[in-house]
Amino acid sequence: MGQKLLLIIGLLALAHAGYSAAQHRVFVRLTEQQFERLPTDIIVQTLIAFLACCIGSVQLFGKFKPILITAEWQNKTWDTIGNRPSFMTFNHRGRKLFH
Amino acid sequence: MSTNSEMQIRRSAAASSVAQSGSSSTGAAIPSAPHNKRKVESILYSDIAVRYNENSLEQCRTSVSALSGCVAGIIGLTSYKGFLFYGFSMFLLSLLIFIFIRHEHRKFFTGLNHVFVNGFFNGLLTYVLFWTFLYGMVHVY
Repeated sequence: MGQKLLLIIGLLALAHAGYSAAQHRVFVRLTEQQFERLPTDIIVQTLIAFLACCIGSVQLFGKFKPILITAEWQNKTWDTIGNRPSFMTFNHRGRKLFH
Repeated sequence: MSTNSEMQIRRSAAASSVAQSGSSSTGAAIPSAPHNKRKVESILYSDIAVRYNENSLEQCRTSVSALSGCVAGIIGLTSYKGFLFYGFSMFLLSLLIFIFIRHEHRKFFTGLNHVFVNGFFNGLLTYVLFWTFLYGMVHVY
């Protein structure tokens, strides 16, 4: 839940920073100044929001499984693992005996 | 894709050299030394888990490349600076993943190349898409 909250906050901050940057562009155009660079606080906010989004998405999507097959087989019985359906045969004497 | 084919090659080589038990869909045997294979114990990897890990790594890369494209567009990076920022953000992502699984990266990946090198440029097109889109939205219109 925490990582989802972090991701949402980061996305909102990113959207806000983008809106501020667009507004700054409009302000510069209306006052007929020469655009040089964005204000530092917008850049800092963007970078912090990016970092928050990165951490949130890594925690949200980065769920890994252990790749060793012993870890996968640890909570399975031998009957499950050793089951080979290809080797099952139904043409044996039981057909005659138990019918 | 290259990692999967690598796994396939390794598995077929192992299957031809070692008499491997277990069904072929779940087990992938990788002998640590192919020459004295009788003496050295081979490590068995679960094919499904390896593919699952690659998949979630790919998901991380795609989402972070989209996000970094947004950031580059908002800041207003142009030409080579944008591509430098892509490299920086991908490295940041790899570093973050490595920090989160630092103590147990051997448990999840066969090598650190999977985290740091493989699929480095997979998100580049996503990045360029979001970069140009946000740059146009913020700085042009």
